[in-house]
Amino acid sequence: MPELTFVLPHWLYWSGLILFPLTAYFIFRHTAKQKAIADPQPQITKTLAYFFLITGGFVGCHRMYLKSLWAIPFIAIFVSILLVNAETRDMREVASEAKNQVVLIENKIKRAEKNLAKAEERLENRDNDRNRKKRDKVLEKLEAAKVQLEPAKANNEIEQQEYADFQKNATILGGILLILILFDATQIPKLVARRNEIEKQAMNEVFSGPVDESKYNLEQEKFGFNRFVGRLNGFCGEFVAYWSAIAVFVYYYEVVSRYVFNSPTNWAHESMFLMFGMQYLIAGGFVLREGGHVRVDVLYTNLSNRTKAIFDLITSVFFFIFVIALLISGWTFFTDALGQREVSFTEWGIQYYPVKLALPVGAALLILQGVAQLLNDIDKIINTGNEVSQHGT
Amino acid sequence: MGLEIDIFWLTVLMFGSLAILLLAGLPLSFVTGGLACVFLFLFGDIQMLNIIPSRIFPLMTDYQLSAIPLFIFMASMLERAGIIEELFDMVYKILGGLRGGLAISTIIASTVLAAMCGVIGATEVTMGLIALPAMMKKNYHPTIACGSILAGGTLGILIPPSILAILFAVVAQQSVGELFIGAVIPGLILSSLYIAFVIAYTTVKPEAGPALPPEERVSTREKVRLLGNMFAPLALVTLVLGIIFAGIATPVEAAGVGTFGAVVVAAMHRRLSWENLRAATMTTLRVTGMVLWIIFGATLFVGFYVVNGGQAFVNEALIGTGLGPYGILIVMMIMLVVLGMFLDWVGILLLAVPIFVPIMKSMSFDGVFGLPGVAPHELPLWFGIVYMVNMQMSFLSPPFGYALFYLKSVAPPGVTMAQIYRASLPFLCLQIVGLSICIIFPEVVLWLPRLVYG
Repeated sequence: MPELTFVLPHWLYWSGLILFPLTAYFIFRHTAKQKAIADPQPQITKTLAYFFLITGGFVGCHRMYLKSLWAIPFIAIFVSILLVNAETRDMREVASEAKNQVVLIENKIKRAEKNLAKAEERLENRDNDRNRKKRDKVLEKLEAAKVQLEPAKANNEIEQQEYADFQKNATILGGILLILILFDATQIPKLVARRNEIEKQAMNEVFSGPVDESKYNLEQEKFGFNRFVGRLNGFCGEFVAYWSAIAVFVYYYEVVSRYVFNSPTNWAHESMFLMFGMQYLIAGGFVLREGGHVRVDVLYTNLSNRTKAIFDLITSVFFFIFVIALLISGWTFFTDALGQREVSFTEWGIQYYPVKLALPVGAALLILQGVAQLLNDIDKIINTGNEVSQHGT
Repeated sequence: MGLEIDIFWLTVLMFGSLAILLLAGLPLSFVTGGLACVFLFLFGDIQMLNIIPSRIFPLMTDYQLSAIPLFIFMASMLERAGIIEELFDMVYKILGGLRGGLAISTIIASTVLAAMCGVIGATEVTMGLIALPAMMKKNYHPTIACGSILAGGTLGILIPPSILAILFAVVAQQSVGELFIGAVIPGLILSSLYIAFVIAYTTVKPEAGPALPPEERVSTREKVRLLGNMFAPLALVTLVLGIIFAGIATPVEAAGVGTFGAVVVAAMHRRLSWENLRAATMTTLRVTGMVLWIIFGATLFVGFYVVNGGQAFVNEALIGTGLGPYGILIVMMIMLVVLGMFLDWVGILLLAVPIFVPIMKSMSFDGVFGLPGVAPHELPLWFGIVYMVNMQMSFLSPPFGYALFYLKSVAPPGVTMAQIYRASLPFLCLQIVGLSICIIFPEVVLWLPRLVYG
């Protein structure tokens, strides 16, 4: 198997984090508009089939998508590649050990030869028992090393051969898989059409997934500021939500490159947990907008709306203490990192300061959303005050 | 400001204000975060506030934590693909001929779903929407109908991949994989206890869970076809858990493969659309945002308490009661159940575990009734699982268990809260039995992890 040496460049990482969500945002808006006009798309599409061929063709994902039993040979070949690879990894160690052994012995011989030359020189200068004994000793060592050399070399040859064989096996299997994938690439249009025929005949009960459970309604906001903040947090939330979809592909790449190509990346894990780290922070305001931060509702749910608003107003002091402290300290934290151009201690060495920027940004988004809710609460207290006596709630 | 205060009064002050603010309805994450800031300022100085980002940042760069959004994404993708409905439909058609078949199907389907989802909300709600009306229509006794949904749904946070296990592992610095594996047998024990109860109950009182009339049962051929339909999601779950248990890849990598697999499964069920993909990412964000912000706030709060000697204080207080290790364990369990009535599971974990785990580590559990105990190095793992089983009870304990409210929110109008309370009681007792098994026979928990990790 060839080795994958791709290292994600820093610029690509950062621009990917920005461009991917924007693209996704555009596509979703676009398809949502289209769906209103056009008929429902055919159940099985060529686009998706090709997508699975490219991303997961080696385990037969496209065949699974088409519900064809021919996925099984793909899986079988793939599993055998994994097994051969595991062996190859072990063999690589054994082979390099054997090689080291040879080098070690050769070095020993060189050293012994040098010592021998020295000893002989000394013997020529002064022929006595002591020098002669020394020379014999060195000679003995040299002979011993020479005896070791041959078997070590032979062993090395065998191991190297075996290692090469394993590599060759993996490559052959990989080749077969590649041919199958290329063959299927030509077949997909036909297969998709055939499958569509079959599934059209079968009764297709329409299943609609649970609707998007957002309880937040932008239209209900009274104040312009609230609408702005609601829209801002909605956008930021959706923006970072799409990052989860990036993770699907990156982890997938990492696993494939580690277990199929025997070349683990040094960036996949780090790039992803940093991305998620930023996501958690920036999601704060969005989750607040959606009322998703859990609260203890033992007492709270039984209160009237106005009392709720009063309670919220009072407790929001603690909310603001927290987020303002986070904003200020987070900003210091960020500027310190920016000043040093801080990068991570790993091989990949990604910039840390954008990640740290998420702290003050997340806090700022929370503050904005908090202010919007504060406005609503004050509004409720003032305007529902008169109605309480009427409704008696 | 640098005030000085005795640790006893600090404890009273911190947890007292925590309780008051929580009852006043401020979300947990902001209560803990805000109070931490106030206390840092009162008992330290304004400079102390600068530790806030340095406490949060390590969580942002935590490798293990990134398994949380991935597993949630996998689960919500499968949910979008309609797997929950189809799974229940399949199991119930296969087992419909049995007495109490619908309730048993609910429990089995929930157990399998627990192996796909790491949280309890989705399973509980969906089962409440589809299984409960189905059972009511067939005149099931409400105790059996509601109870099986309640108990089955809570398995989600015990059976791997469980978000609770990931969080526990991060907080207590344990291996996620070991906790996952350790939870398998206790999870299956609980599940079989529930099923056994349903069978026993319907045997004594056949009218509580009538079997499907013969004309509504499906043929064997149809059963095989149904099973074939569920092949893909079941294979996916087996793959993900298999990867973790065989030690081939880390839980995070397994979760990554799982998310891709979930996309493929959704496509195979012909439900992969841009709309569903978007909805899945949004659901994921809502859940992870909620969970992580609780972690941020609670870390600050508990961090402050521990640094100021809260750890030692609780330790002394517990040892001062004169109870043995097992007595203290039971006290902790009761405290967790009581906390579970008010707080949600992430909050309990973050507030209690950092304080409890070091205490547990300092004690030795030599077994009860002359049975073998727990080796010191396996203690954190054992405690983790016992804790997770215990949390099952927090969800079900009336009057404020979370699962009860989840179910009430989706139940048909005919189902009253009192019926749900009554339904939870027998299953609560079964959970106590399950918990006792885990405590008395620690091998139940430790055997499988030892087998896999040596």
